[in-house]
Amino acid sequence: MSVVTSPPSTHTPAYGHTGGGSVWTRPGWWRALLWTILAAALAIAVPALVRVIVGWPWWQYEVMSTCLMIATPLGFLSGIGCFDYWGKYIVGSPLPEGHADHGAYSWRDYFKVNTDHKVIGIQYLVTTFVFFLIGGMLAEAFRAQLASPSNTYFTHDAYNGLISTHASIMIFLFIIPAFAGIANFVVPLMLGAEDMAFPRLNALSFWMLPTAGLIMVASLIWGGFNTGWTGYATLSTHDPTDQGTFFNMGVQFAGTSSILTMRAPGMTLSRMPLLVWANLTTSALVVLGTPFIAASQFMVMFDRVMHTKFFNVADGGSTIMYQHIFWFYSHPAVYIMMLPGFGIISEVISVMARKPIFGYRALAFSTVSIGVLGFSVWAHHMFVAGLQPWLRVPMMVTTMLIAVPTGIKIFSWVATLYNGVINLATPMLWAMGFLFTFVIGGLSGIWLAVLPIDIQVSDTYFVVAHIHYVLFGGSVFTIFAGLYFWFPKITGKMYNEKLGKWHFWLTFISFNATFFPQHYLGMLGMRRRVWTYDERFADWNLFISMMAFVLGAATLIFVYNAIISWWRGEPAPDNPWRALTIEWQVSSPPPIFNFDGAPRVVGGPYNYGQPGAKHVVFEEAPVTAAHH
Amino acid sequence: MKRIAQFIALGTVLGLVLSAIFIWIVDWFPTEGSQQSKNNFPLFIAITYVSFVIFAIVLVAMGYSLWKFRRGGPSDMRDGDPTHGNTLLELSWTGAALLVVIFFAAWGAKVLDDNEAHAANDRVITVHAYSFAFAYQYDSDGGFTRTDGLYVPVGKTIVLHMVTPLFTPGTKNLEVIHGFWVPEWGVKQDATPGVVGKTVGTTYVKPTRIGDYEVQCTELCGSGHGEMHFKNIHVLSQAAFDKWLTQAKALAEKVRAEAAKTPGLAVFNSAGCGGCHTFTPAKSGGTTGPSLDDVSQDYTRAKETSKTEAANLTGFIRESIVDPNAYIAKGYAPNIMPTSFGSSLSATQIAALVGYLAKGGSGP
Repeated sequence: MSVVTSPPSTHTPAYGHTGGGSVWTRPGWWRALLWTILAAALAIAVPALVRVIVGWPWWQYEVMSTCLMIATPLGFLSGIGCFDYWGKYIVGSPLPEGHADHGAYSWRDYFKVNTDHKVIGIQYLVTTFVFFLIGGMLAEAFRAQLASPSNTYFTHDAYNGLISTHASIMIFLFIIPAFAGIANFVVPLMLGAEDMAFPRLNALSFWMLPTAGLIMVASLIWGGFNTGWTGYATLSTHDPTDQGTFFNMGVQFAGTSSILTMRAPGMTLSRMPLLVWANLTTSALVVLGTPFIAASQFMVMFDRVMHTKFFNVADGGSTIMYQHIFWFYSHPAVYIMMLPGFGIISEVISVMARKPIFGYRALAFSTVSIGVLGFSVWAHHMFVAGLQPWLRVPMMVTTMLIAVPTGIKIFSWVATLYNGVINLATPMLWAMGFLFTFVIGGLSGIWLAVLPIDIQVSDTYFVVAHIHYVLFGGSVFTIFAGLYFWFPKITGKMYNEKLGKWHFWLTFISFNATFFPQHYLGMLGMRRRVWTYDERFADWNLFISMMAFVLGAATLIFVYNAIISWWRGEPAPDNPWRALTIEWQVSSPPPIFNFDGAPRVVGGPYNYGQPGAKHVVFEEAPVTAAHH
Repeated sequence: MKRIAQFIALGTVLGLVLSAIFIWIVDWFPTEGSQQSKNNFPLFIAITYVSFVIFAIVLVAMGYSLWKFRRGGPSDMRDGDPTHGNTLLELSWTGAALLVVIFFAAWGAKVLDDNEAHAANDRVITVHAYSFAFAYQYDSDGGFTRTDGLYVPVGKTIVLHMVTPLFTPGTKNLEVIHGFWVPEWGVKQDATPGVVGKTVGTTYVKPTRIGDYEVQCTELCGSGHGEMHFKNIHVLSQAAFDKWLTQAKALAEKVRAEAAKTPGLAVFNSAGCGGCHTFTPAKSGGTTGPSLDDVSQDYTRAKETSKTEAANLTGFIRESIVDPNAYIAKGYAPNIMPTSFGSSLSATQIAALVGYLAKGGSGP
């Protein structure tokens, strides 16, 4: 059933017009520019003044760069208008109407601070894809270097900078926030909520993403941080640049988690779509884990700037401690990057196979158990690091136990296909491609868990292959499945099916050709993070580099398809996949305030094959009263 | 249920064929050069078979559904079978996954235990890893150190302790983590600054094949990481090793005797003073810190400005070594020189170094 879009006139876009004033005083890009410059000037002037007064040389690189990296993002965020509402609240000025900066009425609204979860979702997705392309280009650059063992396109430090920035961008600026984008757009609709629980916090966390991203990309200009994305002490010249992103993600997912209290009537836990279960678990992981990564990066920053001694062994610090703190977050982070993808796959497979998801309860519980087990396995990253010997076998066992709930998921998805009526449209192709590659990534994960094998292959291309099978073949494939699946809902246009299929097949083939041989290279002795390698690996590396270029080209098909379809694609029907979940029962794109009737959940989300089954009905109550 | 049995049967056959291709034709395991890699080999083979079989079963079941249960076209509005699950089937695959996992975890623990089997009288060698080289200290053979490679006898278990100095020798740079890996040996261990325990950071290897092997650094350690690999791991026959050991000991004795004549110079070199300081008698030209040729002028200046309480030149030099920030030579900044020499050098070593510097390099 479709719902009429709210006429724009009922909600005046007061945003950006409140109080009038010139472009330099009202929230927006001009004020952001002004305040960023002012903040930068202050960040230099204040410490310089203090240093001159106490008689030190006025310039000190670590101090100045840290002050700049803290002050300029704050200047930008304040200037663009992230703090205006709270600022007015604190000083007691009249507050703008509650929905003043909600919803997009023209393309310009996407470039402003906006509290509409759908606008924020689109802002996230477009921004993260820009970073995906930048990260991809870095990868193509170092694959060019690796095409032959004697290439010298980059200095050694520049090469280390490329690989480190590639990994950091892909993990922190693409995969994690891309899932945040999809979740932002879809989850409130799926739950029957009219927005996120903390929309202004949600907007703030989005605007931190381009800010953090800019700092990270800018680091390349200064030669990049060349420590690998893990930034192990004592090598960490790891700038505090990551802070913004990590903080950003923490706040973002905290927002997602709180939304669960805003479920529509009738949405019991057993009627919740699996994507929501996945995001619930992910949020718990983020809330518990993020403080650890933040702490580890702050401690590195303190060591660098304030000469504290957390990791300085010469003065009683510990380097192993960094690894424990880092991995206590960064292993659960792997599930932060995978569980939302599992949720997407469950949605896509059930709808496209026209069948209830096989073993709903087992899938939901396996998600939660992966989240819990995920916190007890971090030291498997440290089997060769000089860990207490007794700790290794228990960590191997817990790591391998995660294979059980993961296996349950794979088998359940395959069983869902059986006796279905399968529509192999592009989103389903990506879901099937995901099953293929993720089984490989999961199995190589078991290899890596077994101690003697891990000791042989850790820090080699085997690990590079594994991480790309789970993060690219896993996470990125699910992101594409989700993007094609919800593209009609998000944009109101249909994507081009033919281009979608080309994109899938080219990616699928070149992905496997790029990464599968790396298992072999790692096992034989090619270590990771090196700009050169043994002659005997030259042929395979040339092949891998060529395939990596094909993989990059395939992504351009997607970019073209997305732009051209959004611009002048065919208008999408409200429910092109005949799905039951709530987001498909509203117009494409959804109305500004999501629902014009009040949704009431009356059944499970996946009851395909049962004639007349409904997940949600809308009561034609006036909803304006519910707006506050 | 019959269909499931068919999937499993077909998947098993396909998986075994794929495994055989990878094990026997692609041959993707490195040469076995040690007892440890021999212990690993059956585990590698078994997990290859099991992995490919699981992969193939999933592939067969998925492929069958994709081939058999397709939608007729855009006008096909049928739904699938409204099955919500099958408790027996779900319990079976949970149980099967659990069994596979327990089996490999137990086997992995057993192999790890076998790989680390060693006796109290096994030869102990300390591996010093630093930016960007390895040095090998033969603890069980008198403690001499070699920088030209690792020489070990075939068929004897070697205990390798990994150690990284706090500072890169000859510099003031804090050291970083390195890794020690000989692929043919099937063992790997990081060397971490500050980790000096006897069980943490230790690995065991019993080479079984004579030959020259390459050691690689496996932990990103900075700009020289790419070049930090050396084909200087030599596994010798017992006779050849004994001959090498005799020569190595004689050489070490000669070097020690030389050093005994000039203990101050020996400490100066081993502590890396020359990396930062110019001192003509020691032929060092570092410019990070003040020149030690002028140390008596520095003492006079410090005395005149009452910035030192040292009663004489040797006292001043001692103070500058153990507490470098007490007096900072003109034109230099504090907190550059490590403050750890007071604890990292022995009293005898400091005395020798102080005497050597005080006498302008002419003393012993």
